[in-house]
Amino acid sequence: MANYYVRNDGNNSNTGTGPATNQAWQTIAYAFANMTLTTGVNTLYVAPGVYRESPTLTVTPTATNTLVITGDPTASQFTGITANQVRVTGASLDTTTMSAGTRFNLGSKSYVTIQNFYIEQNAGAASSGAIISAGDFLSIRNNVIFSYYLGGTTGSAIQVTPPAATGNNIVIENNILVGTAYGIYVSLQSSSSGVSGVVIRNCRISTGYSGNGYGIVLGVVSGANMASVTISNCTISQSAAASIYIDRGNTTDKHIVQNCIISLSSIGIQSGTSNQVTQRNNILLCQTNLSNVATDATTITSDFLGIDYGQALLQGFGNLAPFGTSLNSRNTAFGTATSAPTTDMLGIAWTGATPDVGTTTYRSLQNIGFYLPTERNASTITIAPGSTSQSIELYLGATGLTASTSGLTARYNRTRTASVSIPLVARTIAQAWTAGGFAEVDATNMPGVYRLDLPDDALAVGADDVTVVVRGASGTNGAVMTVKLSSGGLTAAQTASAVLDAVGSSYVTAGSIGYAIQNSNVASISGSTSAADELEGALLHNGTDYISAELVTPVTSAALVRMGPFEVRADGLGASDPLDVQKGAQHGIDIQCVDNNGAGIDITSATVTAKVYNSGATLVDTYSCTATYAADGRATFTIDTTVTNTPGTYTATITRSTSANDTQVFGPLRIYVRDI
Amino acid sequence: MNFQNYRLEPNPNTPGDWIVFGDITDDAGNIIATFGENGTSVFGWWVTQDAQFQRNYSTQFSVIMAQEIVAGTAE
Repeated sequence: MANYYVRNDGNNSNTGTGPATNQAWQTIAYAFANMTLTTGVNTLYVAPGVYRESPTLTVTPTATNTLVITGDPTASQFTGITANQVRVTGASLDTTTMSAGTRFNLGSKSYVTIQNFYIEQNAGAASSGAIISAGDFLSIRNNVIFSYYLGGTTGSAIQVTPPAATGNNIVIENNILVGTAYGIYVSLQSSSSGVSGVVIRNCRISTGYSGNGYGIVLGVVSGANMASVTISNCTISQSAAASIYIDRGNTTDKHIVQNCIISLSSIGIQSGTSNQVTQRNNILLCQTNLSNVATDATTITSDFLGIDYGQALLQGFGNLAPFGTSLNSRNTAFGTATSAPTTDMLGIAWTGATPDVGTTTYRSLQNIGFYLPTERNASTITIAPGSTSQSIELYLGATGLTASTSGLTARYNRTRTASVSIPLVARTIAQAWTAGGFAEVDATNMPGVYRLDLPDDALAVGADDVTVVVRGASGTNGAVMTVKLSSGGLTAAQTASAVLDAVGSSYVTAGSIGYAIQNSNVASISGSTSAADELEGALLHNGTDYISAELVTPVTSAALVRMGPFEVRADGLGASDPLDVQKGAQHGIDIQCVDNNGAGIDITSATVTAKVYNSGATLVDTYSCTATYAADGRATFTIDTTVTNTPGTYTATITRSTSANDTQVFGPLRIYVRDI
Repeated sequence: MNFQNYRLEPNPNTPGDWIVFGDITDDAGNIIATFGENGTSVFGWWVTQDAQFQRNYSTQFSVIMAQEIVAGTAE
């Protein structure tokens, strides 16, 4: 897919691939000949403006490289352009009439959609039309066509002469057609049966002013039959000859005309021969309503058309969609849903359970204004609460606005409070702040941007945010800006992350809190010497420095902690002190085997073992002791998780053996295994 | 008012004249009049109308005549 752009102030030497002035092409005719269509839906956007040209499509869309030619009246794709109609006219000046001729000539190209144009045409010849096509797979929609020929009885607003096929896939919908001899002229090749895929719906047609005038004509190029066409929800009036004329059809697959309002014509629905058209759910008011078309109980003849011609607005009891169903009209749900469009010509769902008759359902436009799509600033900034003398910049789009521009007002409101007026005061951009000061920043280089000086009360402490609105002047939709009153704008989590994840090496300036934290200078961090002293007191001191108190932190895996020495006395007289052992840890336990007088027993060349029993006197494990100072009875062993994984009270005895006949037992040594 | 079996045929006896055939029915489909078994000649019908009727339609017809004359399509 590819997008192309045309605007009046573009240039045909541009690439056409962007919407800006220095990107877009200038004429539709140039685009019609120079687009490169790629796989997918290719779109040609035409900006609002007047195009005095009669383009002929020469590039060739295909089933895989389709083309949408769309006016962009809301300027949704363009900047610097005001929303307006995309007018294509044959008149070189608006003070003269135009020559006869075709406006959009799509040739024999298929797979084309053309929409959202306002087209003016002097028909002037039978083969001319505001839009003409000899292709199929067409969609012609949402166009308004004023087409005329004062000199005769020929020409069409929309003329389609597709090639022979049983499935032409042509949709003509949501068009408003005024003037000329034929509103819609479709000439189909003959086909004995089958569905043609030609649908005409939601079109409002007031054409055929001359003696040969018709609203819709279905003609046949050759043969006796014509594939079925559906005409639904059209409003047609004032046709000199017939509102709908159907040349031929076939009796097995009849044409359908339904849900239409047809009035003030010589003939309403006319068929060349009988029994080839089914008409139903229509409202008719013509000199002759039906010619060679059978009546139907669902169709009525009535001089109450149920249309709002403007009476609601004129007489002040409403503002309804133009030419739509009037208030409490019978037209609501008058139509059949079979083969009918799901919305009216404005894209609005039908009011009732089934479609209305006519193009437009009942709809109040009371609260619908013009669409101006751009130049509205709706942004958010942050200012600390309690700030004073603050100015903000707003984008209003239009240039030349001043504090005294008619209609221009400014207001603010703080969270859940009534709005407050900001009287505007004329300022130049460089002048000092004053409440309500208003100045254009730079009309040339920053067009549309203005400075507004906020009153201090607007930013006072006590509100979460304040919303500022500037609006009311012609040419601008105004601007809305929300000022978040916050000193930082970070959440607690964001603040914590910003501090704790900061790179330490970036914060080492002497005297800074970062430096103090990284050097454990508690007094600097806390600002309190006593706090520092207390913290130091809570730490262990290894004789040189304060060290971590992690020794008392529960461990989650085995670790070796050396303890002792403990005196383990001979002959069951016990040990010097009980041991506290951390659950799940290993401990190196130093012992000294002593006699009753406390003197060490020589363990040189002796085998020394430690046997650990639980509180049930069951031997849990036996450990070999390693002499550390044998002459003085000193040795060490490591108690492990065989014992320490299970909290409880244990006893350990130390056995000194030099031979089978020389064994002494020392202890017991009490051991408490627990979470410390 | 509706037409059924409507058709127009050139009058073989009078060049330029046309004969209108068909039935004229109401909305219920009842035949309320016909153009006759042999149809109605436009020329023959025209001359039976009163002068005021002929004058009014001649005025309208003159506009169409003028359009064709200006356009150069008139014979």
